[in-house]
Amino acid sequence: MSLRARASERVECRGSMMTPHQTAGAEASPPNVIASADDLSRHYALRGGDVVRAVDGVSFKVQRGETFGLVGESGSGKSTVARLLLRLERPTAGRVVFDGTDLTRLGDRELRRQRRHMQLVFQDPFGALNRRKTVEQIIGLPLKVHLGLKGEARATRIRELLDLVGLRPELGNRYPHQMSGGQCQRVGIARALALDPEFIVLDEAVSAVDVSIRAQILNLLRDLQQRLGLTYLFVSHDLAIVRYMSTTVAVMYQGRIVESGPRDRLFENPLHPYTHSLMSAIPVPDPAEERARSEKWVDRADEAGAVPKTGCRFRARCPLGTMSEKCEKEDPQLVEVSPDHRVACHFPQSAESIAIRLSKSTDANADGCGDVPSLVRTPELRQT
Amino acid sequence: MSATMAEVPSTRPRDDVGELPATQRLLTRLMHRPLGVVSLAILVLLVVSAVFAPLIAPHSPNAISVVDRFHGPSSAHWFGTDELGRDLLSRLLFGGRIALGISFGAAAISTILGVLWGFFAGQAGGLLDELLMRTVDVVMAIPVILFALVLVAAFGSDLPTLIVIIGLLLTPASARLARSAVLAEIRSDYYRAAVALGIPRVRILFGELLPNAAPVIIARTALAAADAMIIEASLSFIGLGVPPPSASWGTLVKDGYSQIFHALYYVVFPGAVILLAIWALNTLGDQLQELLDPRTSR
Amino acid sequence: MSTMRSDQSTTLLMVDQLSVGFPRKHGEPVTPVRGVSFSLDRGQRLGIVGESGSGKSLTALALMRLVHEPVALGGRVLLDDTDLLGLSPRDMASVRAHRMSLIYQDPMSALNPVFTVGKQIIEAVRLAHDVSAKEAQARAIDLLADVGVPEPMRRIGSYPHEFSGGMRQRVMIAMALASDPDVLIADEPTTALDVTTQARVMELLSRIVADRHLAVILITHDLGVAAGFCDEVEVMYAGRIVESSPVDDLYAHPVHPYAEALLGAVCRLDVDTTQPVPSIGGQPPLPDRLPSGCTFHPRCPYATQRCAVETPVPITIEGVRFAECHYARERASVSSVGGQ
Repeated sequence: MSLRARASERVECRGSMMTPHQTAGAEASPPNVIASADDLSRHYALRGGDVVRAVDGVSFKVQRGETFGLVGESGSGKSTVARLLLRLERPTAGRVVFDGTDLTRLGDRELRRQRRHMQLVFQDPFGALNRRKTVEQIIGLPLKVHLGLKGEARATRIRELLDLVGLRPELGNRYPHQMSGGQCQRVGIARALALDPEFIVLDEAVSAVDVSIRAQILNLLRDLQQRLGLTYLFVSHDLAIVRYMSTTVAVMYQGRIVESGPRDRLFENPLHPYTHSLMSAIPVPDPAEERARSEKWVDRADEAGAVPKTGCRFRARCPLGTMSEKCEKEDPQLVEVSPDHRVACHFPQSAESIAIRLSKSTDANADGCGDVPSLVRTPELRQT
Repeated sequence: MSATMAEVPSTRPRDDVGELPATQRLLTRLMHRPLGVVSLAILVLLVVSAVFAPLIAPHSPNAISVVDRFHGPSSAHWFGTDELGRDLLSRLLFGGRIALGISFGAAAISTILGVLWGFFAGQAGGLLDELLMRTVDVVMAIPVILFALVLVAAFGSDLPTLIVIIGLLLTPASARLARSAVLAEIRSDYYRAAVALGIPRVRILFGELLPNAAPVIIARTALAAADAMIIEASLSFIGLGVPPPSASWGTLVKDGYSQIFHALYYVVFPGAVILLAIWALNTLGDQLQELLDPRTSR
Repeated sequence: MSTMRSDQSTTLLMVDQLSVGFPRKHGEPVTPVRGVSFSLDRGQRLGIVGESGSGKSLTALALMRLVHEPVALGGRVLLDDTDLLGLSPRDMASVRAHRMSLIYQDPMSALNPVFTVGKQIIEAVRLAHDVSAKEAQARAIDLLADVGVPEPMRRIGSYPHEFSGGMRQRVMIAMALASDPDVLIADEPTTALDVTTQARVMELLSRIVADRHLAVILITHDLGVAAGFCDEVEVMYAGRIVESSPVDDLYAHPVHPYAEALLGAVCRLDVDTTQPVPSIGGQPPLPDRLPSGCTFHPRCPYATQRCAVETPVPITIEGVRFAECHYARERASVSSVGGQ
């Protein structure tokens, strides 16, 4: 069956109850959830007894056909979650269910077979490709190994894939170092599509390319999703891009999800102080607007020191956290505050209430760094 | 985390399509490098002369002629004669078969076994890796010549045995190299990509990683050949090489050494040939390594 | 062509047709920077914006004469009437010690990992000023406090790896300020930082620059960062400045098609999610394979025959703005009429 026929079948099946890829002996899970993480954890034991909790009890569900955006800064654990979801790493605890199958319990061979359905696009366009192989060899590898394609059949499929990602077939003979970053990233995408997967994880897939190329790749990704009925997990540190691409968004901090919800609801009404901080911190290409926000409210970020081991992990950076014992003692859990909108905070705040609180507290706080928090911005979002 | 820009290499000229580092063109490109040409030429010369020794040797290497003992280099005997009147040049030519044969054979064995050992250890990680590499350490802690002596004493010193013994002795160094080459590549994204594609591990190791590790491994093979030659020459020098009447270059050095004040040419010629061969092998290894890396090859 | 936008007395740095060329084994040298001109006044914040391969970082390095050899630098870099490109290495080192400082993108590679942070700052202080060790240390502590490092007296004895990324960048800023420079060049200072840390560091930089009345050249690919910091922006493409404008004018009414396209391609937080992101087709050209005529013409939606053949020269629009496009004036008048 050609790529497109399979894809249209998939697009039709999105609405129906039965999935064409259900495996026997599957776990019970709602048929429209393609992948889910269930209390996933990944801890690394360091010499000296310390434990790094890269991912600590993360749970979420990805709906078929949607784009689930995972946003966070360094140390948030978002890339680790992406790898755990694809079973490229073994979780310390919890499980990953893909299309009804518990990946954490699969043996090597079954896991390899399962991989056809879930693929990954990497951040570094050059590093993701084998520098000694040509584009043809790179894209052809999964075709050879999984589908046993040879000769003309394989060449045709490769051409089809190159065309799908907007590359000329002549590039087949090139080596990665002979191409630009944007071209290499497209090859990476073509390779991910080779086995016709349903689910693709994009791990900072546009972070390492120039702005103009980034736009091209984002458009390509959206186009492919439409045409092939793909589901994406979009991991990025860039909140604006995550918003552009995703239908559901989860914000991660220090291994936990601190806020999650449908995109529009989350962006119109962010509740976690960290989410507010992220949104305020994004520089806007508009000098007038930047001047008006000349005193942005951003959390204490790099000045806050070590992550506290008790209570809320964000409290060292949070201007509100110092105000309550609860934040020091109790670790907030993800709680649903409106349909599907969840926050892990003892004092979730709307933008206005944060601004008010902060202007009150600035007089009291002797902030040694000399920064005065006063304004919080929630963007004027166009109704889409 | 960083929003790093994948720098398009702005000052380095790009290859055109068609000027690719393919294996067929490797030789041509080697020819552009003076050192490459010279070292390859020397090795080819040595190998060809060894292979065609029966055809080009002016005399039989074992032809004894008491009358002609210890003649210096002359028109009849270009390199002179030894204590039994045998033509040194002919003995050198035939000796090359043994010296080069052992050198290449041992290098090949050490590379093949070393890659298997190192790759396996590198991708296994954990306890298995530790075990395998500590074994390497132990073997490498024993001086090679001593170890060789013991093995030769135990198993004899005919040609195939020597090749195997020396090959085994050189394996740990290759294993270590192969392992670090594998480890460096295992951390890369393209390795993860191959795993994510569900490619079986063995195929990834030999299909994807090996080509990237190839330059260092090939260079190491050339160096191993040089090492093997030294070991074999040393063994021959102390009389534990191939048994007479066959003689490798090392045997000739040994015999010549005892006549050093009497017939200097007798030690100089074999010594010079060994030196030349080792230099050529080392240099060739370096040149190949530079060429095989597509990024530095421009 | 250089534009003088204020009288001689306040102009600190004047760059005139700066070019950077690398010799090659075969053929012409490769010139990633091809005739860059701009001037910097005291207290001014100049931004140089471009994508990878535009030559912006190389320009910064060239100003400090820190480009790796072998290299051919052309043009003039006048710091108070002295051409830096003509100075001996010793004199140039003196300039670097006293008048110009550079902040790098990656603090971990710029800071020496085997010396404490205090030692490195003190070294910078003593290179520039003739002070006692005790006095230098006091200044170092003040500098650390100034850049927002908590507990500066204790942290003076810490090593670079003991700081977080944002803190390391602050340390680097402290080092750059240690010599009391007149000109600060910041090469992508926040690119490797988280967005929240970036915001804090840019805020810090802004305050420090204002306090000390420094002249700053900020090199960045991030249009948002440039918007929040700079007074004037130079947009670079393929080794040349294609547009130079005061910041408000650039973002409101870009004239050069590349500047316009670049601004359009940025994904803002309030972008319309139903529409594709406006993108620029193709990719930036390599310095050894530049298109004929206008280097941007293969990717320009407004390109004409003329653009493929004739190389544009910088055309002045409204006094201090200029753009290197054949249709600069037409585009400027259209957009300002339409905008108002």
